[in-house]
Amino acid sequence: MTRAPGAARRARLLLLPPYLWLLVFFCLPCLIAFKISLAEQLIAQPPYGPLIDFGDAGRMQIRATLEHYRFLLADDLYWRALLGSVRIAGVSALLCLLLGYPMAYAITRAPRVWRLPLLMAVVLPFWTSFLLRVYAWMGLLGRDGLVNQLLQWSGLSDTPLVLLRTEAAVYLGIVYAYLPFMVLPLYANLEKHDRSLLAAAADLGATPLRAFLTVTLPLSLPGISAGLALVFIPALGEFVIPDLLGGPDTLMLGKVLWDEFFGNRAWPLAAAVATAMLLLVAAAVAVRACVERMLRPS
Amino acid sequence: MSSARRFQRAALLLGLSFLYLPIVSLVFYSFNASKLVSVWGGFSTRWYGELLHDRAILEAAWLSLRIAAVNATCAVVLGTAAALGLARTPWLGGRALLRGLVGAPLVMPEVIMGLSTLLLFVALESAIGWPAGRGLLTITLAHITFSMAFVTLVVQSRLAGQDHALEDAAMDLGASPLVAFLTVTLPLLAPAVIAGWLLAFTLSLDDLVIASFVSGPGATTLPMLIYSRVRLGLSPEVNALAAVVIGLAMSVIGLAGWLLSRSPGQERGRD
Amino acid sequence: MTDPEAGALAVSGLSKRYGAETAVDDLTLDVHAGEVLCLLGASGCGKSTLLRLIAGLETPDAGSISLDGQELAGTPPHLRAINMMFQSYALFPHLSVAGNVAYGLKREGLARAEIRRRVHDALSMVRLDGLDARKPHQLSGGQRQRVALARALVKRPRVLLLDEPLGALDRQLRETTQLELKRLQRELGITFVIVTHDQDEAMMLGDRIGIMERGRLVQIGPAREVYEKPANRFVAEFLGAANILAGTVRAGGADRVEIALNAGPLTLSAPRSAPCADGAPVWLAVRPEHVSLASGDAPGPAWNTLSGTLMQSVYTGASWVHHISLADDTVVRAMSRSGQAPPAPRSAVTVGWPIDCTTVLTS
Repeated sequence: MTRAPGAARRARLLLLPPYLWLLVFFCLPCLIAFKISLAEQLIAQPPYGPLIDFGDAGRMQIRATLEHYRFLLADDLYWRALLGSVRIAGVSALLCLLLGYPMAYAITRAPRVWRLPLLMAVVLPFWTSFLLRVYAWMGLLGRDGLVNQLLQWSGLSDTPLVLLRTEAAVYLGIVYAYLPFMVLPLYANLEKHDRSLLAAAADLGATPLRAFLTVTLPLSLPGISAGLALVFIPALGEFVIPDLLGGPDTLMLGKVLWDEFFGNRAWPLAAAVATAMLLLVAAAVAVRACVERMLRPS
Repeated sequence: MSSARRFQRAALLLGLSFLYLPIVSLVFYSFNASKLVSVWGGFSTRWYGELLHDRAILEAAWLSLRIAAVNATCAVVLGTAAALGLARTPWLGGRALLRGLVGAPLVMPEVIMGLSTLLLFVALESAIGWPAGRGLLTITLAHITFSMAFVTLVVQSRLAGQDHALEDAAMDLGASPLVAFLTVTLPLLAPAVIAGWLLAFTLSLDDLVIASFVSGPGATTLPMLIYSRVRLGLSPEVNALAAVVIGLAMSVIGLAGWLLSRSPGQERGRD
Repeated sequence: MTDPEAGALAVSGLSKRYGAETAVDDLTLDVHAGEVLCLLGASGCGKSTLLRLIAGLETPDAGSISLDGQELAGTPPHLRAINMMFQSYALFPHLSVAGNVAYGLKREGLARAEIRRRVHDALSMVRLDGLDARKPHQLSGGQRQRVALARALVKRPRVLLLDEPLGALDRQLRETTQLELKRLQRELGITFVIVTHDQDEAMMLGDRIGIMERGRLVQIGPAREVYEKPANRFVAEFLGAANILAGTVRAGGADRVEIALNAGPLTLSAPRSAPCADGAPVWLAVRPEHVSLASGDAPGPAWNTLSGTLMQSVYTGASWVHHISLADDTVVRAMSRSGQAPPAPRSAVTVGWPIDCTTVLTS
């Protein structure tokens, strides 16, 4: 690292603009959102009241209220949405792992010249429109969609199945959208494995399956943890997929927030939901950090 | 071939088909003469024609492109500065905090970012009168905030693979710190900076949630328009649009990936 | 050819700390104009830090550095008439070989034709003609090293700093490059300060060798002097191999001093080099190549002798190295020509060496 005279000062200068930007457009909004979550709901533009009010007599009043949070805790809907988010994100992450691990493993075992093209092939769909790809599944899973057509043509089903607007469709959508986020960290980890370890295991009498279970799998735990985190954490806050592919009973916090905000114009309540979501995400990130520290070779 | 190999091959094939089937079906059905998107009624390119005459889509696309371009350029400046600054700061306590802050937009759910940024704009407008109304400006500002985090990520990983002695060598040979940066560091960072620009551009172009929150009347981005249409059901015009968008995105990103893999400056082991 | 008077470095009281660690500790050093000074030490002894301080890439916490009488503090690295050859070579990957070598000249603002000529001359000098257009990743390790050298030398610095210049090369290449490096230096007359952990390299290249330990300069002088008259146990054991025997000063004449060994009831003699008080704890150092297994004849009065048990004899091709254990389990190493067969292990043997080959160390 250059410790030349002035380098530290230059580094600080470089960091100033991004730091200020993030303070204003990232930190400050979060604080404001928290403040709004304590405000009163009004029929007004914007639909919330000020936090500090100077009443008729000119006295300062703090008009903060916890009613939105009380509502969140009391109403069944939000608990179900919370659990729904955790459940759906969790199951999707696991399904993603089941599909992504063999893929990543296969790429590491492919001839060297194929590896980069294969990785790019996995990552490329991520770069095309997310919205449009979810829309594609709407087409495939619909009553007259390709999946139903195939099922009927192959005789597996007589009538078109309801595939769309179900929780299963949401799992499918999330796995589809986040698969690259699982494959890449797994690949990065598996690629660094010392091949001679497997040879040593075989030399000591382990079958290929045993060698995989006792050598490769434990060593790939950091990659698994990274992949799971990269799918689970963003999926917690997903909106588009549950909205387009899920049904009315697919409850996720992202959708709830959207509905409160756009549907009911309940800005303070939406802000309260946002705060709850933030805590959930922070908890997930904290767990991830703990796991990462545990898995790090000391 | 051993059974393990066969299994791996099958998994890969299955996975890749899974990834590309929806994309292929989108493009396939965009040529469907029938209005019922998924029921094949013959080959036709009429939806592409209708696309070209759809004013709403064209305006939305134009808006999205402008936002994406401005966003990408600003995000690249800020994100590269952040990456360089973080790489050169000696070990301070504040460094971990900064690093966390720069990476936070990556984990933050879009609905939260969208809502909170909107509340910021509303509060600012009532306090100082700016921004007056919401639209292109507010969307761009919000996009820059999360794009910057992605650019920092890309540039940081490139910086990490660089020999630190290169700038020292440049200075030793007579280059002032600024000249060393411009003639040595920046050219070597260029592929990452370009990749960052493309990434920021793509993310902005594709954003629905944040734009929905911070936009205003008259400013409808392409994703917002697409969303409003597909909520009601399938639309063959959207298929045509999808085919165009996907085709463009794939070629541009494919190009960027190829550029990044070719450039020198990374510690590469000999095979 | 450079001015033969230019290129003298004076380092005085230099210190550099990183947090709680002291990398360079109150170091004073004079580098003569036109000489090759090799700084030798283990990793972490501060030699690379010293180089970076001289180049201006780090700022010292205390002390001064001056070049030809001119104080360098406050002068940034790009304005010092000192150039460095980095351990990793630090070739610019995006520039060709010619572009790399020309980089420093471009910063000086020279005319294009002049730059081209000097680059060509520099590449010829390091025997890399014809490789102008290649990129660094297309070169072998040895070629890259020469480009790094040419790039630094083309600017005609007064002092060239080399950080482990031959470390990455294989043995064969290292030997030929050492000779070339020495030849170049003689021709150009530039002061070289070379940092290395390889003793043979230091002895071969350096007009003087400086031994560094934990940020301090322990001893400096011509190779012969440092090798044969080490200043303390660290130097004795670091440079080459040494037998170190602990003892106490008994008595002494004008030119000899008697030392009673801790290892046994034996008194050895050594030339008096520095004043030592009676009863002072000292160490005797003698190089294995001076120690031989005594044959049947009685040794002369000018020899020290010891008895012990032969533990093992190691064949190294050029010689036998014998490990003899003394009464208190101290191991003494002796050498003999490879032609002679060694005695059987576990036999009692006597070793001896000329008194004049003994060095008394007080630390």
